[in-house]
Amino acid sequence: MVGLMDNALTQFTTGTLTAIVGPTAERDLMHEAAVQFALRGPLQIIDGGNRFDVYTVARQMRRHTVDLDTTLSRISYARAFTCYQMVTLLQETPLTAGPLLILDLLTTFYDESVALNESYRLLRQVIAEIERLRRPAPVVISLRAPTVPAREGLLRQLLKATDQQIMRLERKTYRQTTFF
Amino acid sequence: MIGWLIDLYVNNNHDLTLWFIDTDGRRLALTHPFPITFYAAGPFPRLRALWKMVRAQPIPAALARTERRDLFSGPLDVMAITVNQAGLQPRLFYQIKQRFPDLDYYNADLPITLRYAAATGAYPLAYCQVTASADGQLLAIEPLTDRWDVDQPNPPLRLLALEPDCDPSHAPPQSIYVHLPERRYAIPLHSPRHLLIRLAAVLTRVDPDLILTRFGDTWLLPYLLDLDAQSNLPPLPLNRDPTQKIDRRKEHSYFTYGQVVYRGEQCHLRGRWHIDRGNAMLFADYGLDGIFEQARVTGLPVQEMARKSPGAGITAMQMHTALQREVLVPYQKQQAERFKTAGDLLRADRGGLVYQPLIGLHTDVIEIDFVSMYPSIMVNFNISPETVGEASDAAVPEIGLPIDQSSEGLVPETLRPLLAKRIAIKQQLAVMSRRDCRYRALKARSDALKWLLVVCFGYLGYKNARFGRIESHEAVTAYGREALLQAKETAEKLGYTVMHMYVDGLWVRRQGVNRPAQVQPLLDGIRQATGLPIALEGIYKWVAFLPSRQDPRVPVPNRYFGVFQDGTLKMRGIATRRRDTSKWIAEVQEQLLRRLAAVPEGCALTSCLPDLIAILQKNLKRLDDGEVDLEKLLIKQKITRPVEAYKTLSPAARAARQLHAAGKERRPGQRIPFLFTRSSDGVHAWDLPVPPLPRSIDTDRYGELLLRAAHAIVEPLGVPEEELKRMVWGELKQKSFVLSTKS
Repeated sequence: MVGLMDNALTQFTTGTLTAIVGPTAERDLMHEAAVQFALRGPLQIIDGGNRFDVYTVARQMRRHTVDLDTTLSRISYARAFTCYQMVTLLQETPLTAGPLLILDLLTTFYDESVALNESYRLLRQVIAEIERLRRPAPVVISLRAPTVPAREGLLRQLLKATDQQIMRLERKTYRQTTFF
Repeated sequence: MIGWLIDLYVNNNHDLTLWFIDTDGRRLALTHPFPITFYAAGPFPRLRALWKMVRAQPIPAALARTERRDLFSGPLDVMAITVNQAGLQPRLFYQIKQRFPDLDYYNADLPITLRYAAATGAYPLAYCQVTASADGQLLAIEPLTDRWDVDQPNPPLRLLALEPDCDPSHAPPQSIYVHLPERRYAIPLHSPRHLLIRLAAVLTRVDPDLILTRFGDTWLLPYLLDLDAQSNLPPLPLNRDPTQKIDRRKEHSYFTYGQVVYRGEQCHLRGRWHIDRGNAMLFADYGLDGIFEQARVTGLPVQEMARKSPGAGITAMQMHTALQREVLVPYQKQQAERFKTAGDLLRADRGGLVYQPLIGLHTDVIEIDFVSMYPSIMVNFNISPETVGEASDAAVPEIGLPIDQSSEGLVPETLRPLLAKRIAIKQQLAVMSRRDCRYRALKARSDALKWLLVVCFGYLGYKNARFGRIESHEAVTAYGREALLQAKETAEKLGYTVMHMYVDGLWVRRQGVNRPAQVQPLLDGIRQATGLPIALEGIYKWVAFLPSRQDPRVPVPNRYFGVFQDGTLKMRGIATRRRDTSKWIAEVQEQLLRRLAAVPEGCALTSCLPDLIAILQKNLKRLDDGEVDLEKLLIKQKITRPVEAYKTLSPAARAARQLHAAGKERRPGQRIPFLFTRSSDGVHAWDLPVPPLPRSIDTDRYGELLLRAAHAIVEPLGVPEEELKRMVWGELKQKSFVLSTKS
């Protein structure tokens, strides 16, 4: 996985928006990306699905560095529990040179208590904010498909906004590339 | 007129109708025009466009530019939109929201009873002085009681109970039981006309304030309404207000706190209440007295509060506080978590503190618990979404988050009287005999308030809470961990050994301390060290802390059983406490515990082991002989998704699939009752039209489950599971062998 991520990191260049789609919004892979980015410098993480396990990340970091505190402090992290909060968080995220990871971006938009047209309206705001944030730094988002077919359009709309480097890693493929 | 406010709703003229029971026992309806104001905020050109739109549409509304306070950002320029007729506000707001989805809205979707309570002080069940005109217009209303009064006069309610003769999801009912205070009778269902006429007669004669049902929401009322619609009889007077329709709400499932919850259809009446015991949250815990108490303190209508979670009650209370403070209530919460470093997250994102128990059987263990620990922390340390993270000298232990202490936060202000009321009721209970006729109602009210306090902490971090914020949630747990550590240090300084700690409770022991009075210095010390109230739960004659089933060397927190000095049993985390344990297993496990608790002081607990084995053998034999009632063998487990979405079928999913094949649909979050059988599915859904054959019951499986439950009880006596099986099965099998050779 480290090797995979090493290769991938070179593709996450400034200005690119990369979407990683998988059944669990590729949680493990995003953890590994967070570790690799943090070893190189500061990064921001926005979590839309409570996917970030800081204990796992800290354990993985220990394999690479003894200065755990410094490396952990390079990660700025915030959670969104509703799609409204996701919009607010992105609006409040400052432009930085460090990469931005958005974990499980669409989960809050799949919430059926939010009207579908409202979800689309907010998603358009999200896309606009990501356009702003990708200018000085790479943005990597992880996504999963909705359980309700009516919300699949949200995933398609967001994927349209991404660049060419979209990795669709199904669980089997992912396991095969694991180095553990 | 002086009386109790029992119902309040928007009538067909878009004004309010209020129902009272006066001191002479009359049921009166009064109308009250009630204006509603809500607010919009956003860029000026958009507000200008909104102004023009509201002016152009037909619903009369007054517009004003004004300033109101947002809880987080302070004074805010807003447009106030006032609709004179309460019933028209939701319609206008919907239109506005559709046209201007980009604006922020405040006070836009608040329950009408909350607005009324905030404006007049008249909360549900309030005892009020009312002035009315001759044509039934309410002119003035003044509450004579406060929702925080401990002693509240109750209205003289007339009660009618209705229930079908069986669970409609199990089999088609044949009659409806009518319960009146003086008698009970059944009305057969075979003649709909006869049924409707008799029910109409009883409703007219009794004119109940409360119709209490079983399966009323999910079957009885929908069934009666369908019959009523098909008949040519006058409408069945289920509503006391004949001008109103019955408010029917669809069934739904939702995901919350990591589990799927199913809520059945609801039928709300007007002018009187309908409560379905099965569809009322926690009815079994605190009954009608608890529901009334929650309605009083939350301001939500009785019928709503009966069906809603305590969390909805807490949200309503926070809205009430906001309305009284003239703080805006956002339509959508937008405040997001502040960015923190992963290191800070590592320190902050923890729950309550747990200190693993010392496995085994212990005597003279003292259990002490913080009283409503998390709410007390919120109140004492002023933890509220708007106070956390603001510049202040006061900082949260471990995580260093500052808490603004300059003024009381919205959440502590909401909780303070609630906490005080519960403590006052508990003090009354402490000196009241359990045989006192007031005890049960008072205990129910205390339990109802407890539930509100229990959920208030979770709502600080809940995604849909209007005033929640994850940092305040983290601050509470950090204070909780600190308080528990301070309690541990205090106990150890006083010579106690700490046996176990679990979030807000400690189990301690000290040689020679086994009387409540001896524990007082410890309680005082902890109270002084933490600033939080703490109380003695009890002193155990003995308590057993159980290990993990996977590894007997690993302790499991909050899994124990014991007997207090007064003989009361307490158990946590064992089969009898689980909702998916069959009644039969739960009852036998409790029999074992009661036998263990009956061992006289001075005798070894192991002395009752032969009795325990005999209890198990007797019950297993009853199972083998088919003497155990099948209903007692039912397992009830939830399905978490639609049946077709399961890849690997759990027993409950297999049972749901059987029901699906029989045309009975079940939704995610519903509990499916089933029996373990020796069929290919391994289960038989209880609600199938064909009952299971008694001989198909998988007695081996039930036997295994029983012995597993029994092992939790005998394990602290040093009996391994295999040994228990040998002691129980060995003899039984020998007996059955002898019987079979004889036959």
